[in-house]
Amino acid sequence: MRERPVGELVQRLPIAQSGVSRHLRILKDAGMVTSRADGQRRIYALRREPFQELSDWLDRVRQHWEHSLDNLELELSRRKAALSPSPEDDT
Amino acid sequence: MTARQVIERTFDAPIELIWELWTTAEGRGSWYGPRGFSTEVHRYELEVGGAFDYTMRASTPEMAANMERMGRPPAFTVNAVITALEPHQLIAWRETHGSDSILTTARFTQRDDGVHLELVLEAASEQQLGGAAMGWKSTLERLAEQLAQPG
Repeated sequence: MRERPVGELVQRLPIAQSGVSRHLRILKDAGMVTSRADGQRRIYALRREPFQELSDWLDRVRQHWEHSLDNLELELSRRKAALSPSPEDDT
Repeated sequence: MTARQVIERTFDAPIELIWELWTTAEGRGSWYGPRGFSTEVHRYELEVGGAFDYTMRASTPEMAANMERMGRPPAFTVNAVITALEPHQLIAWRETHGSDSILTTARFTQRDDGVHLELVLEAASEQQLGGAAMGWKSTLERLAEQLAQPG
């Protein structure tokens, strides 16, 4: 993950330095970013883990649904067939 | 903020039959669930605010063994609440798994080639966003609180 000093983030955002620092402190408390000191500067980076976990979880949910919808298609064919019996059964 | 996924399918069947398989306990139990599990629907109250309770159970010895290896019980029960309902058009429900909440919306539209399903999954997840990390939603709520303060 690319690191950025606070000063660079301030330049890119329409928010004053104090506001940016406050956002970053909250994101750090929440585990979304990390920070380290570099002399007088403070350097921030996004943490990959929270995003990766979210993405893994979404993959699992998607798999669950794709499998369920395959089952649903089978079940629909079964019931459609039961609703319209073939001529041989019509005796 | 929520994470959002969309899954789409088109079914070559009448909407009445599809709706029955989605909205009756017996119909829903006949197809719903991950691979290796069977689903039993205990309560399905078809109204906004109604209960949708079901249990998913490992249906093979292999899956039961897998669950045990992961330290999980072989069956788990979900208590969901129906949040929106329009017959033959839309059903939505909210499930809570620990600190995770998932809103699922199934919307059906008649098209020339069959009944189109658009399934939208929205998660406001705290646990899944990592360890002690707060969820996006609460993070942004805290941000908003902080920004509202002077100084």
